[in-house]
Amino acid sequence: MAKTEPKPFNRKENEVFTYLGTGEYGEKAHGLIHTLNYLEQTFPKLEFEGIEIFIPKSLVIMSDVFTQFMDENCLWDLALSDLPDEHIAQIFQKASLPTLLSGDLYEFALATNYPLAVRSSSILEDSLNEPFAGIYHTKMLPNWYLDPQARFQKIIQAVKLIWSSVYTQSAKRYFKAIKRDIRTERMAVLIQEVVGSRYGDRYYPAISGVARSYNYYAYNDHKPEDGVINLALGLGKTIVDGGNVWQYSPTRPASPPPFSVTDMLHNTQSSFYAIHMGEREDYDPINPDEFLDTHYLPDAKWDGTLAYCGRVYNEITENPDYEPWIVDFSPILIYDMMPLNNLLHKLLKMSEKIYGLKVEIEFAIKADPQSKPKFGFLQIRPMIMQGGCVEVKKETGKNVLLYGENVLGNGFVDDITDVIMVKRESFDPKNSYKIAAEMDKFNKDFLDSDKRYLLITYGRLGSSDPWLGIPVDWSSIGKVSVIVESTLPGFNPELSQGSHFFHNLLAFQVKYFSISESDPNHLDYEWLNAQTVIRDGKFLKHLQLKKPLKIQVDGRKRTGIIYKNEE
Amino acid sequence: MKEQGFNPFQMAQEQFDNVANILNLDTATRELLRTPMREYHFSIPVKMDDGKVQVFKGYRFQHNDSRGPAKGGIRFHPQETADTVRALSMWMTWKTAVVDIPLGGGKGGVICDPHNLSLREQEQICRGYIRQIAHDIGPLRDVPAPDVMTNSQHMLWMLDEYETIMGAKYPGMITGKPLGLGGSLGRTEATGYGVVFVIREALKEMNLKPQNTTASVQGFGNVAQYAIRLYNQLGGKVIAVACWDQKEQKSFTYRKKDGVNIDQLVGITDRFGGIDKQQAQTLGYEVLPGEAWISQEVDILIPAAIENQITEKTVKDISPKVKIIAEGANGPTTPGADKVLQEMGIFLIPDFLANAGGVTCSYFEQVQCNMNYFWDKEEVLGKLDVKMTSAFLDVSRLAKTRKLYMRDAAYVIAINRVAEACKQHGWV
Repeated sequence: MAKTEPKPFNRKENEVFTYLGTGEYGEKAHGLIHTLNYLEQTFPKLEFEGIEIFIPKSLVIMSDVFTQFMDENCLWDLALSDLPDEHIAQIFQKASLPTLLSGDLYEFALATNYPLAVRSSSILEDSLNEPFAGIYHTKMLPNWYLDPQARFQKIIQAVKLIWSSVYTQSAKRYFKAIKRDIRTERMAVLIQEVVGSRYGDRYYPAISGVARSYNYYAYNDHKPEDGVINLALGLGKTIVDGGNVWQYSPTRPASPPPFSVTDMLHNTQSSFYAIHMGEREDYDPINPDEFLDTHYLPDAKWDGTLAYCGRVYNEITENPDYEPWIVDFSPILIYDMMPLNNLLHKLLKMSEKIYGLKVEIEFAIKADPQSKPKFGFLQIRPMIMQGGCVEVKKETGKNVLLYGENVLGNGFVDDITDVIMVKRESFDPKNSYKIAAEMDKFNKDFLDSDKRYLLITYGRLGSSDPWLGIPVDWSSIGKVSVIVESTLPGFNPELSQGSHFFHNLLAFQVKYFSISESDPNHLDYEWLNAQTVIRDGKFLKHLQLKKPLKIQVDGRKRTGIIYKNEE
Repeated sequence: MKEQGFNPFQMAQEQFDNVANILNLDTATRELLRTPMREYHFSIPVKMDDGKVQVFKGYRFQHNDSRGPAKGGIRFHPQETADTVRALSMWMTWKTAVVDIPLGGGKGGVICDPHNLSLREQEQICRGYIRQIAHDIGPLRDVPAPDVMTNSQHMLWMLDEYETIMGAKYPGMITGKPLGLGGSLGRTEATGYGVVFVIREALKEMNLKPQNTTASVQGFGNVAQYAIRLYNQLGGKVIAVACWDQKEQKSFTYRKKDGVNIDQLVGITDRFGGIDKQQAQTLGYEVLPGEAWISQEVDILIPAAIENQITEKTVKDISPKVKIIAEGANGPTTPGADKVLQEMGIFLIPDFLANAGGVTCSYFEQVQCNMNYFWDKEEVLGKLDVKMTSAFLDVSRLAKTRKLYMRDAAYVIAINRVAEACKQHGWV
């Protein structure tokens, strides 16, 4: 599909998209080529109703450079060893870049003094069409230093960190889970201008977002085909990490969400990520978040960015000093401060037409009152979809373990004889991190077998806030087949509905049940407690069933049922 | 010593005169720049291992230091002549100027053959050399470096003697020191890599993909070996390498049409860059006469051995396929041969640009010594690449805009910079 190709890095010219070395581009850089082509076809004037559209400047270090780096520094054995992540990262830091890369990168550093995102661009992710979201590192660099030598140093440290992230324990576990040989992985690196503005010591986009042309989480009368958009204040890390963001349908941007104002206030975005542009006392080149800071809404209010993103619900408080902000992007979505939704709606429709597939678009917006808003187009890529037609009957009865009407995924599962469940009776959110660590241990039991399991947990699975659910990453539950996340009496956070693992769920066809404790068809705990426990942990237990469960999910209606298969 | 046959100093002066005419330099500037500003000739008595005393002839010439302390290597060579050292000191001035580093040009030499000297005898020559010249060199006056048949060990002996005489530490007095003792990472590779950085840029300008090119190299010392390595990394293939055979006292060309294996060849090479002929034959290399390197059907010729190799006689052997000559050695092409190359339309990267990687890295070494803070290898080589590439682009831009031969364009830039510095100092 791609017609436009990036050009070789040229020290004399200032191209938008260039590459260094030979080999492959990897997943993210490939996505960027699609983006470049897409823009040429759809917005030749790079403008939409007063919004400027642009692709941030990007440089790809191709995959052969990674191989050369590993060969020249004899890193293969060490990388594949069981050394702790920090040791491997440190050894990578000490290794030397291939000579032909050094000069070009130094020249790049000389010519570049704006913040950069140094991102992994995996070859396997590209060729296997499997999601590697969150497996490898991304590092943001302020890159403001006056001394180009300092800028060069930070860039090469970040590149080496991305390369070393191929060999973290988490990545190794993940490869084992998906039954791929980590030795076949090659890593290109995408160095990209960060879209945003500087506000004192902070640098961030007023808005970052992800738009998808199909919504697996459509609620009320919204249709999945309408698509879905997630918006956040600040860097997109909030969305990637599954933090609290604003989600809406592009067909009805002003439609209120199905929560109460109190819920909204409780679950609204309250902090955001920005690149730290000041001096740093600490030095930690192997920390991907070395230059990231968390800020809170008053900072955004001071910077003027909150004016695009939120509003104050004064009616709920009489305290004049308390400003209960809700980051719902109402100035844009309801009061038309900028035609962002029109643009996103058009982008989704046109890109579906061009690609013939459901798509996902990543973007960031630079906005300030003095100039036109600038829409930075970061990525466009096809969404992974699974088909099949399943009819789920609404049933109750002895043979039903669970029936749900808020279920993600589509299809049948009939080979699950293992259940890992968080112990309901002793569950306490203060133990969330410990529970996540135990999940990782239980998941390891499955790494060497073909078996997958049903996971039963409470609260927002994958939440970055341990008080709302288990802060687990995908590699720690990589062998799961079906997930049930539930509320408990007195513990009633808004469930994640799989949003933290969106890509992984799709790619591995994981079925995801979100249920409320008050649901009449809630889990049959009595039956579960009667099953054989083959591993009893402090917070979790592993049950062995005599017969495999029968699970059906209808993706169109978002209904699903789990049969005990005992009759 | 009576100078016979080819005279590199005459050649250097001819090249200078030619450019002085292009630049329309005044008589005083010409006179100042045609010869070294200072020449030191001295004798070095050394008690040999057999107890006898042998007296070696030593030189240190400072051609011009208007842009900074003089900089240049010390050669140990049995055929060393004063005129060779004069020419080389002049080329050093142009070399430091063309890559725009704040140094002048100098050169030194000792008439000796290290092949026939024990390490102790070599050490005594190094220390004796410094005893003769210590007060006329130093980090702020003239900074020596390794050159033909001298290495980091020789530099360290010289530094040690200098510091003993001066009674203080002067790590910036000499460059090319061993790592950990004031040496810079990347110094060993710098000259050879520098040659390939400029070849890469030349290929870009000619729209040639490195992976579609082949090269023949004269010499298999440090410069040639690293040039071959980096050229291979670019994707190019070296099919022939010529080098001196110490046993037979003549040179041979080793050819493999599907590309020489650099690691294999290094494995059968002595410390002076001589390839073992028998082993090379066993490994499937064709052994051809020494001069055969020049007549290979390749895209690139890299003379990286000694001066006076592409002459009016040998230039005729160059294949019409050759598009680029990158002079890794100093003065490998005679002025007569230069004219022929120009007529053949070969893109020449002149010596003092192509092999300036060494002196540029020496400059970096000095900078690091002065800071007493040493950079990572990638930082050294990254900066080297940027410096070399930028110098190449300046020269090639001038060559294009003023329709000059590359050597002339490089001279115009370098001599103009030095002449301007002399003028600004009020010397001329």
